[in-house]
Amino acid sequence: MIISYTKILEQKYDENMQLVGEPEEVVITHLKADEGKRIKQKSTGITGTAVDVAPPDTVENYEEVDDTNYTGA
Amino acid sequence: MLGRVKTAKPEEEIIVTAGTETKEVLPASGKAIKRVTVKPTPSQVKSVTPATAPQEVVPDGGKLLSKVTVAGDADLVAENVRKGTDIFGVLGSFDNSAGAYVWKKYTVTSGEQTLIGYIVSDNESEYPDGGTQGEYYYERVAEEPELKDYIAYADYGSDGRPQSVIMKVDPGSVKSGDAGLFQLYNSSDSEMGIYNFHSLRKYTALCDGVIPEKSFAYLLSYTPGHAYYATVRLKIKAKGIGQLAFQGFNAGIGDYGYVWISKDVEIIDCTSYNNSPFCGCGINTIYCEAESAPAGYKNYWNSYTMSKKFTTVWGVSESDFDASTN
Repeated sequence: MIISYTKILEQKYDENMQLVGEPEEVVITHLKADEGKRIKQKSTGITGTAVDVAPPDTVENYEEVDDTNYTGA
Repeated sequence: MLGRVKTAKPEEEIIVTAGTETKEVLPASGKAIKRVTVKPTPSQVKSVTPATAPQEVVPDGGKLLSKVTVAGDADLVAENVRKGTDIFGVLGSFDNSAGAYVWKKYTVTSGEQTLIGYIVSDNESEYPDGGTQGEYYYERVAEEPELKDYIAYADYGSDGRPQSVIMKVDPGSVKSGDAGLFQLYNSSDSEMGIYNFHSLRKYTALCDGVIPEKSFAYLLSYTPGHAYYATVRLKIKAKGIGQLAFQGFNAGIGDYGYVWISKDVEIIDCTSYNNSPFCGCGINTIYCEAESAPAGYKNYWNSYTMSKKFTTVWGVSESDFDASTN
C-alpha cells in the first residue's frame, strides 16, 4: 500500500461563522492499494482502490486485503 | 269608314343591377319595355381573425359575400394552450402551474462556457440565483419542462412506508416541488425536501445530465421523533452534480448516511466549501466508483464545512456498496 499526504490549511469558524484563531494545518492521507489488493474500510467492509482519509478519520480504520474474492468490478 | 290608327308606343331597354332586394321594373311614361337586362349583384370577399368575442361577417351595402376566410394559426395546438382551457375545441395541455422556469447555468472562463447545472426559478425573466453575468452565463431552457417518471417506489417496510426510492431527474425538467421532492430556488428562497418519508433507507438519484443546483437539498432531513431508519443509502448516477445539490442530506442522523457516486459523474460543481453539493451532510465517507477524482470535480467538492472534508474511498463498485450498506 502506498501512503502519501497532502497538507491543507483550514480556517476554523465558530457557530456564528466568525473566524476563530489561526488557520490550522490539516493532513489528508492518501492510501493507494497495491496491485491485486484492495483497501477495506473496517467499519463497513466496503473496499476500494484508493482512499483519501480526512480527519477525524484515521488510517487505522482501513486495511489492505487481497482482491481474490472481489467480484464487484 | 274612317277609323283611328293607334300609334305604337316607343320602346326602351332597361338595365338594372340585381342587388339584394326585390325590384320592380316599370317602363317610363309613354314607353314600352323592349328588354330588361339584369346585371348580377356585385360580390366581395372578407377575412376574419378570431378574437375573444363573436364576430359577425356582413357584406357591404348592395353586395354579396362570395367568400369568408377565417384566419388559422399553427400555434393553436394543445401544447400551447394552458391545461384545462379549451380554445376553439383545442383542449390545452400546457401545465406550468407551479410557475417555475428552468435555466441552464454556465461558468465563463476566458470566454469559454461550461455547463455546470440547472436552476429552477419562478421568475421567467430574471436570473434565478443572483449570479453575476460575466462570471456566469444563463440560458433559459426553451422547451416546456416535463418531469418524467421521476419517482418509483419499491420495497415498502413493515410500517407501510416506502423504504426505497428511485428518482429519475430529467435535466432541465425540474419544474416544481411535486410531492415535495425537489428543492426549489424561487424568489423567496423557500426550501423543500422530503420530510414525510421517515422510513426511507435506499435512495437513488438518476439523471442523464447534471443534477440541478439545490435540487435535493435537505433530503431526508431529520424530523424529531421520526427517526425510524437506521441507515440511509444515497446513490447518484448522473453526468454532473450542481452546487448544494444534496446539502444537508440526512442531516441530524449522524453517521448513518452513505453516499455513492457513479463514475458517470464527470462534474461536481462548487466554488467554495459552503456550496459543496454535500455541504452539511450527515455522513462520514463518500464512496466513488471512479478510481480517482475526475478533472471536473472542483476543489472543495467533498467539503462538509470549511474545517472538514469527507473521507473519500475510490474504486468502489455499486454492487460492493449495495452489499455492504444493506
